[in-house]
Amino acid sequence: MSRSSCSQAALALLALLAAGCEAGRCVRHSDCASPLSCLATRCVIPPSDAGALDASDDAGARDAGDDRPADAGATTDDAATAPLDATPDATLDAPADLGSDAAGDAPDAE
Amino acid sequence: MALAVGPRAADAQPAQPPSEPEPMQHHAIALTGGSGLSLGSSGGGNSYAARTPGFVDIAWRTWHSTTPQWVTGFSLRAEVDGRTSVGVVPRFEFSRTVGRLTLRPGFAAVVFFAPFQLAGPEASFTVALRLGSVASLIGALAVDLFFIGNDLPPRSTVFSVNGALGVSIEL
Repeated sequence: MSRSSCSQAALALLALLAAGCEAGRCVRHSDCASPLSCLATRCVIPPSDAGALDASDDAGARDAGDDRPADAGATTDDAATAPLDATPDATLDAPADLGSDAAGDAPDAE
Repeated sequence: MALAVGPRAADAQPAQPPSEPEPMQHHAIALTGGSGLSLGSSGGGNSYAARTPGFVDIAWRTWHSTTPQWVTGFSLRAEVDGRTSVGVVPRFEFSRTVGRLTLRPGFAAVVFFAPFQLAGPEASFTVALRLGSVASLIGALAVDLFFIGNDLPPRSTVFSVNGALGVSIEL
């Protein structure tokens, strides 16, 4: 192996080892800071903290399956700026809307 | 009186040639540290490569002198880089000694159990350079595939290629 190819190999190795330094990216939940979890290689606010309706959701529910799309959760960058109560408000509004719609539909059905 | 009969009976047996060592179980303890590269992929087609958290392995290996090529043992593994986790790694290796070098291809199961769960198979290749009568310098290259555990995002797997360096002491 020539000296130049050896240097290229060393640079490639350094580049590989430098991978993973990007903030907010992850391959495991434990790569993320404490309140965040890994979803689609990005650290996001876990569904339970973001106002999930399931009151029984706890830390052990990480492996229970999360079908939320990748762009549904705030990334670490968003987490620093977005108000945390935005999602809970949205989830709290949802049942009320459904209820009013159902009430509005009821007379039509009759 | 009965106790005195035992040694005499043993003495009556034909003595083994002095050049042939008595069969015995061998043990070794190794301390290694390592890191590497992890590639995580999720079901949505996303993938990301990150440095594997640095880890420390305290390994125990044992083999019998009549079958020195088959080595079993386990490690206590702790991730100490950015998080603290503990796991066990039971392993089985094939050992071949060439001069001062001992080559050990093998496979293992990596099971992190605290504070999160993460598990998967590991294939490894360990090289031990004998430095003296009991000490060896060891290097290992391992490939891991994690697909079980609550430390993994949903529908994702983590593939790791790690290297480790350390010392081994034969007891």
